[in-house]
Amino acid sequence: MNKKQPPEVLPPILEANNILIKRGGVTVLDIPHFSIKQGKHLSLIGPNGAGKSTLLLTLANLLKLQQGEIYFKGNKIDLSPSTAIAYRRSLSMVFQEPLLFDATVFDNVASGLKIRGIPASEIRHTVNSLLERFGISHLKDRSARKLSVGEAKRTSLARAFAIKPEILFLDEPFSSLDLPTRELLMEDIERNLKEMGTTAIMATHDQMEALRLSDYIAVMNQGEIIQQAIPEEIINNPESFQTNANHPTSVN
Amino acid sequence: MDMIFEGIKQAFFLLFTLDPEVMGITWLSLNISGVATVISLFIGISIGMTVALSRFPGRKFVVSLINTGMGLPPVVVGLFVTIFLWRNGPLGFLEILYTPTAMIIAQSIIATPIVTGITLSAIQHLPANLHLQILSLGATRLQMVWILIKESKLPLLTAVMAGFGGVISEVGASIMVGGNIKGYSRVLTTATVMETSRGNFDIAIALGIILLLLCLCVNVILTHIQQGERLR
Repeated sequence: MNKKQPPEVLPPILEANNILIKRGGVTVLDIPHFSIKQGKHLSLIGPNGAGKSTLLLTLANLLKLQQGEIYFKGNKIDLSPSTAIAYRRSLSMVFQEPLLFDATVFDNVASGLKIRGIPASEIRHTVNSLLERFGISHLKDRSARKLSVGEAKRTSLARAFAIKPEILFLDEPFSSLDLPTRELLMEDIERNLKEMGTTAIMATHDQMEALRLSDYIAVMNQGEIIQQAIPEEIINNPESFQTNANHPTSVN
Repeated sequence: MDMIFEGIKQAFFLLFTLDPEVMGITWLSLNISGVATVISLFIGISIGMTVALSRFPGRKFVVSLINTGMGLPPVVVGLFVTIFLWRNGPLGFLEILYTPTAMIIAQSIIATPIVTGITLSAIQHLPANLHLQILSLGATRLQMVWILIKESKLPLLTAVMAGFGGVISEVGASIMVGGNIKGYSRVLTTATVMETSRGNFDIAIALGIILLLLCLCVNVILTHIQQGERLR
């Protein structure tokens, strides 16, 4: 849509207003406004318990919204199952754990397509191409139980990209990976996000990951976004101790 | 010892000669317990899934009730089903007391908490965010439940074995609600009790051996499937 327009004037693909989530009377998320434009990549950074994962789950319509509205391409996501499913079918989520099914790598990558009732021949073509992209073609018939952590993460990412999501939510996708594997995986995600033009929102602890993969960074603390800007701005003008590299509790 | 030897001899004689009465009793036992197990699977898996995936006030109490129900005494179930189906009872108008239908109802009540408890435990042992991952792949609630069932198929096979084992071997409820009527509601356990009380130990042993063989066959098949899946 409107591909000839410069990205900056595009309307947001996802917008959330007055989001409030409470658990046991405690506010865990309080976001007056959040938006991301099509094709952009945004990282949520902040310490444990800052609300990064809760915000991802809320935006992905996987957590019940207690207050507020979410708009996808200008349309409000209401609570009706049909709207919720239609919205979820335009996104994809990669959790911290790979959360693979007890099936082969091929079947795992195909799972989202099977859920959508895509014909088998189309599934075969899409999955094979994704397995190729993530360098796991040789593992296609292997049981997901017999994968290394890195292989499982790749499979999980291939599954997420297989459904050609308009928005990809990544919750700490590089955690528990050794440095070389993390580097390779980061390259893969970066390349695929660019090639497919996918909008992405990633929660991470690691500023370096955020700086490398994001157009924007949102710094979160205690359920609130305390600063949202381009990476350079976050580095040069940190608004709070959370983004101040000299502070002992800073995100690093 | 002679009595036991005679019993074993009698059991194989009855089996090999395909004694019509014994075959009828065996078939009815399989039929009643099989149907009861299937019913308990539908109800038990649904309740187990719902409780496992929901958060509501009093959930811990409900889980405690389910766990208690796993050890539900068959005679107590038999007593309450009899009261409910008694001529003047709340469901007396159905006129199904002392019928195989009543036995299926009683056995379903016995097996359901067993299946529910094992399902609950199986789903709780899956990764915490798995159901969210499934939903994020675009699944409907029904598709999510089906995938979760497939993901916990090994413990659910245990639920089938435990549920079937619990009802095929129970006698209290079957005697109370079935009445042990020859050729109509007599099953292996009730027939064994009756033959023992008559002093026909050889026939009782024979029926006991048939019951054991039946349980063994069903469990061998299910265990084969379960272990095959585990090693896959």
